[in-house]
Amino acid sequence: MNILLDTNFLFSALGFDGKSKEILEYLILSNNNVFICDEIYKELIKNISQKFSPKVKKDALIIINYWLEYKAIILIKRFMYERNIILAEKYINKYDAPILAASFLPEIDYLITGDKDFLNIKQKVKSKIIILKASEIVNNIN
Amino acid sequence: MQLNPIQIRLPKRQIITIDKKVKQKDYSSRSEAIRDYINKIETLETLRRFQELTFKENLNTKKLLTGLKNIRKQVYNETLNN
Repeated sequence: MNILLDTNFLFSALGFDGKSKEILEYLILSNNNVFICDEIYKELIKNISQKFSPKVKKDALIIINYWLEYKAIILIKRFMYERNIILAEKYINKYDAPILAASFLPEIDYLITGDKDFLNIKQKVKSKIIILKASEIVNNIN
Repeated sequence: MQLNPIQIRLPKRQIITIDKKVKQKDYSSRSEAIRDYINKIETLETLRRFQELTFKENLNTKKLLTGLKNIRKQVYNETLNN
């Protein structure tokens, strides 16, 4: 399966033990493909730059780039989902729309997010995409 | 990426497991299976390394997740301006 990860889920999984981390480890060890889109990549970089001290920030960014280089996480470029943004804006606010638009790509099976704005539209989006709380994903993905 | 040959010795049990995966078409070859296993372990190690960095910075869940909505707005505006 191809799973798109939202920023809040990633930071929840990257920093701490818990359900999100278990899910991310499961996704890495199983034969699922993990994706982020351009906006999520930029948010990762910005959040790391704002929260980490300069020396540690450098190490954290090396890790992010390692994941992308070795395809542990696959980056979806904006031009691939840009045409879906107008449709996505019918369901969600303009800031979250690019992420929803990326999840509309036929290759993406799931979007994992903890964002309540996404969870509220879960029933409205008529597609194979199911938007789940992190704690729900294990039951649904197996 | 250039691939270099090495010779490795594995217990029979592990060879059977790998061959089973190749037979099931999970991998195209033994080499591909072993490369994938190593990649996965390396990725898990980097996950742990990232976690160590957050401890080093005294970042808890709340601190790490705080402000993400604002960052999303910033990224949106920057993308729009480009």
